[in-house]
Amino acid sequence: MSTAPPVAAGANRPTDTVTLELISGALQAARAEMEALIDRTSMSPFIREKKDYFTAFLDADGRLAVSTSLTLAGNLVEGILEHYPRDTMRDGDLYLYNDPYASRGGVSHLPDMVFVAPVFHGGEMLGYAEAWGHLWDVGGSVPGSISPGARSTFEEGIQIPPVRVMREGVLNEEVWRIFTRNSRFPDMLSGDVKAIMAACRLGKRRLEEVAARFGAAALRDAFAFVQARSEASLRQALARRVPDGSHAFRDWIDSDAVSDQSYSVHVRVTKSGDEVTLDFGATDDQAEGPINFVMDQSVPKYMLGLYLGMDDPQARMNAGFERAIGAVRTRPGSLVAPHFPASLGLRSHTMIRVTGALLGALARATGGDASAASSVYVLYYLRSHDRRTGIFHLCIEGLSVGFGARTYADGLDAVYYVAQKNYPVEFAEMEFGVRIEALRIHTDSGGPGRHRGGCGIVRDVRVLADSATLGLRLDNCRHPAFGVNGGMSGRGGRVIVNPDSPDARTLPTMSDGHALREGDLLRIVTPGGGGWGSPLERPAEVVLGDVLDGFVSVASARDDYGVVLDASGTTVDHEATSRLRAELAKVPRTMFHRGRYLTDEEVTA
Amino acid sequence: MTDQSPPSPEVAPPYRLGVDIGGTFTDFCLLDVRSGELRSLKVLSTPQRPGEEIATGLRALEARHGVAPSEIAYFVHGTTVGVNTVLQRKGARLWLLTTEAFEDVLEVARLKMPDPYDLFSRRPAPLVPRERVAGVRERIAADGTVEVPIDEASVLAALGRARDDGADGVVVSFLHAYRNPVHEQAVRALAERVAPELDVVCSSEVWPVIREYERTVTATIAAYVRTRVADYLGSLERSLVEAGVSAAPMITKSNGGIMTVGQGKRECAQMLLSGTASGVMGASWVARQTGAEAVMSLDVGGTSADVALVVDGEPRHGVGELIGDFPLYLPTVSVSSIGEGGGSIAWVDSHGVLNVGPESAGSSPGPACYGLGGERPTITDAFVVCGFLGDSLGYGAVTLDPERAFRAVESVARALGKGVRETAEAIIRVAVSGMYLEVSKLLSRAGLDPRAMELQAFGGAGPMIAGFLARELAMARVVVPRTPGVLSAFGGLVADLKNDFVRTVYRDLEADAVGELRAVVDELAARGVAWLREEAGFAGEPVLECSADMRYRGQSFEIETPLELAWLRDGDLGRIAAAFHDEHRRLYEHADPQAAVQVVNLRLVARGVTPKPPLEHAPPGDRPPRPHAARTVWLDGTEQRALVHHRAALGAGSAIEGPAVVEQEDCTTVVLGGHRAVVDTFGNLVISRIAPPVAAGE
Repeated sequence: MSTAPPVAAGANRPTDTVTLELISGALQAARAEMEALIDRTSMSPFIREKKDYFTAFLDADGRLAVSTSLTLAGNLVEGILEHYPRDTMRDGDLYLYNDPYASRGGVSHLPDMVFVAPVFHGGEMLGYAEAWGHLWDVGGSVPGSISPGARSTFEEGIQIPPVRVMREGVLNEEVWRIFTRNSRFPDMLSGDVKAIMAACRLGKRRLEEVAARFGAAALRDAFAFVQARSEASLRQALARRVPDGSHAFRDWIDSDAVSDQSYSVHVRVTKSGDEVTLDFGATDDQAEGPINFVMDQSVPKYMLGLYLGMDDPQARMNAGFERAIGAVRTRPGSLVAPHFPASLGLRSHTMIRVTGALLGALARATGGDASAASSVYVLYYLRSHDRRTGIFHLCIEGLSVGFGARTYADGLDAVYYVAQKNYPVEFAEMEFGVRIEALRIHTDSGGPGRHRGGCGIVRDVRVLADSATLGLRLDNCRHPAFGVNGGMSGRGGRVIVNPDSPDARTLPTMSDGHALREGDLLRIVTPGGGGWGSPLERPAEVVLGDVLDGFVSVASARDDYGVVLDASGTTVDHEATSRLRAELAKVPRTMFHRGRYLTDEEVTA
Repeated sequence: MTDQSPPSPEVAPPYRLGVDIGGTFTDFCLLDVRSGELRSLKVLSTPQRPGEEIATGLRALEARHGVAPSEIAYFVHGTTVGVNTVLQRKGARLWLLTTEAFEDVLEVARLKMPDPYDLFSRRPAPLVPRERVAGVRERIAADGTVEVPIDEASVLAALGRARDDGADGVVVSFLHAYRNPVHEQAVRALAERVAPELDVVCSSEVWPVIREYERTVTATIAAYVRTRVADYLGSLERSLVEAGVSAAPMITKSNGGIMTVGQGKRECAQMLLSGTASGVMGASWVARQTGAEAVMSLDVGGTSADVALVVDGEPRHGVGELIGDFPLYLPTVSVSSIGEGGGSIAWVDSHGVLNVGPESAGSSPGPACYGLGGERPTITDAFVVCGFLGDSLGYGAVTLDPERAFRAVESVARALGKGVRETAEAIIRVAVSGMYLEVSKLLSRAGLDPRAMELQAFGGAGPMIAGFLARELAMARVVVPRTPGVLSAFGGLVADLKNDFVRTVYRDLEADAVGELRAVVDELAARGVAWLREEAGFAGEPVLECSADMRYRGQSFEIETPLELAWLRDGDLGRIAAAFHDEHRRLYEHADPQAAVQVVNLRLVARGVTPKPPLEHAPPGDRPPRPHAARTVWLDGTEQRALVHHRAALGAGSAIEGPAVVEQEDCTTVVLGGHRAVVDTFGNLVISRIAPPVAAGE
């Protein structure tokens, strides 16, 4: 199971494990090269700063072999094969799509543009090179294409089902013209698309080189080898860490941004010996707003594989993870299997709750051996117009949140999924017609626990333009990120206009279209991650360190952690701490906490 | 602090000496100005007694080569003391003063996780913990005007807390201080009055550019290392005087240049990466000799392999190089670690797959073949088992025990079910494949094609492994310089006086910006000349090189575009814009000549070109050269006969066909089958393919 059988591939190079490892290394290198090329030559800030792109190699059957570890989509080739059977594909072809419905989850919202190149060697198909990136604008009702207010995917941009954009190296100009005509920023789109296409070509060339050097048969073996390794790794981890049984968990999204209704993802994880199945059937119906997620069956498997395989460098995200886990059931018309044309722009809110639900179910199955929940990254869209200068500003800023505490460590403070950098304050003030008046850690937002949840941040933004409209996507306020194994939930976020003033007003955090005036101060407070383990078990000196560093207040140290500090707030009163902790230990703690400790029924119902 | 006027070459004694202190060895490279002859020497470093290794080395130079310290006219020195201060967290106890409401600047950083895909990753603890950060009520607006005047009471309170806390120093970093440093300067003035014992470092003085986190973390690193580096340089000066060296020492910088020891004491952050940078300067010098357009230098030591790119004889620069866990935003010769060194350990994982690294046996216990207690197989052991290495290394400092190497590799061979020599070769190939992965990413990011490049190998293990890596990447050739073991020390000898200047302007490239651009470039140029004359004591013709960090309006990143000073002085916006469009097209294969262009920063490099005495040419060598031994090596899955040559016995024109081994005191070069090594007129060993590549390539 753990290694592919050695296969002779030419006179002097049998495909032994060392050769397979060398090919695997070459494929990793080639894929990283594809990423570097996209990173270097693309224009869109989404791609450059947010690292919102993906590269992969697939085997000749279209199964993922080597890829970026991003769990946003799967099943990259099937939608293409429906229109273009494999025996009609030729060397130099390039296929394109961004349509989540027509590609059956090969991509999950419209700004992600996917390119796939079949690769041949001596007339035989070797596999596919694939790349996608998040484009700046693909049309739709608002600049940037993603709107919290979208009620149908027709509002979110042009939809391109799988089409052949290149035949034997010749570009289909018609497709190209239709595509670029539909963007508000055709030059930037064209620059980005060229970068992604160049990455595909590079991947194709590298695959051909590997085949020329080691033989096509050895390359096939190597694809099978890396998949088998990931499969073995995940199977071993499941056998080691997850006992047999059936466990469910429900996790929540605050709202769908067009109504006040909350939505939930429900999963039931069932393990019986080697057989593991995932059932999302009890997930809520699809939403009217854009939080729907066209989830391929591979996606939750990748999530589990990456989580359970994180201490094994050989457990790489590929089809091996898919084979290690059995059926994934989703219910058509639900949040994770919406009917066309439900809007999809904010699908990452649901995607991250799929991870949350899986972690919750794992925690139930293992008696708490799983991370606490993380909050979803925050974006705000401030569209302003300065009448004096006539300048329009479009400020789309991503803000960081706290991640869930891990079974072995605190959650990360102030991070953005996966890797976005924030705009420096000094840049934001030059560019966006705003003055940033504070940027600090959101004290006490990290869920108390033996391992503390990561903290979110506070950002105060003063509007300097005459007027502005504001769109918000800030989740985990009504339903903060849950704590595990006695750990407490993170604290939610909020958005307030003119805080600490008589006309202070709180805004709904998933919403759009709020009018702001010159001089208004916008305070955005982002949520933290859940804690893990009882906060009474966190060493008092570590809690003191958190207080001194501003992550935890003196009050929370006392009330949540049972740690009493002296009047100066700089040393622990050990005696008082022991007394208080003994007292607090009487409070019953359950496996999960969200605002309060929850019963099993409450987390599964 | 001290009078720094380098002696003029006419009356100077004849020797120039470069010294580079590394973790294990201290390298000496001595140049005789009269003959152009180079000599090298290594002694063990004495990190506990800094300066002692220099005295030891000077005595050895006198004993071995008859060079008295008083005959050394020029002394250039690089050290890792600054970087080690950060790595070992042994720097100053600091307080940080920020604009009020931005005290968490180091903790919020810029959100980016150290490794986004590593679920184990953690944020490193900042060099200044949050409890020692104090906010000051003040505000400078984005245009540089004072919006909230500085509140002296809050400054005094913060300084008082710092003093009571026993702080060594205070870092001051306020918003928009790059545009108007008046508030940072006010803090300095107050500190001088009420707490003169505190060492004050202002962000606007270290590297005054836009981006508050980057500026703050850089100023913090600068303050963190300052005391230790300054103390070290002071003791260096004293030991040189005691040893009888009258030359005022020069210090190598991360930007590939040199500066006086006086500046080094104040601006310590500028020398943090000087060791790796001067190695690359040495490589650049060799690249100019061989005339290669694009070179990748490969420096492999015991624990790591570093690469740098040299294009047209100039090393690539960047900002944001890591010092331990922290990015340093000062112009630095870009050097990337690609992982494995000679001491990296081979092991078999639970899937039965062979891995190499990241664990390393380092220099202690070292590879199994050193016989110092190491038992697990390393890359060096694999080379011993394959027959490439002789019986000693590093000027005879280490004796190799092939039996131990064999036993160590055997343990892994058993787990793999392979022969010992097959396993040894597999270890080499897996290690090289790991390097290949990192290098191909790096080259892809730089937009360079390895097939047209030269690989320059140095460090103890570089020349041993370079042939394998070059073959994997289908690189044009491998060059092993004459003194591959002491190239950093050599690099200091050929470096110029060099200082960087920057000013953020943040203007659209339009007519109303002409005045400001002219004023700023004039100011930078004046500061550059003043630096050369007054700070560096340079009497020659100043070289001023100008560039700008530019972008299309709305782009989230800048491209450094070389400009001519005259364009800025004459307000030639057309030429400036054209230079940017061209640079953009070169990097991204497209440009938009209609779009608005912004100048974010103007930059200037002031360079004082130091005399470069011609190096002695290599004497002609035997054709064909006479090997001193023959060895059976295991290469490409078979036993082969390899001739072994002494490097010293090779002269210009000597040619060797692989498989072959070239030994010298500080390293061993492996020449693969199908390759030929030829010594050029400068004494470099140049290895290239005889036949076209069998491996990958088009």
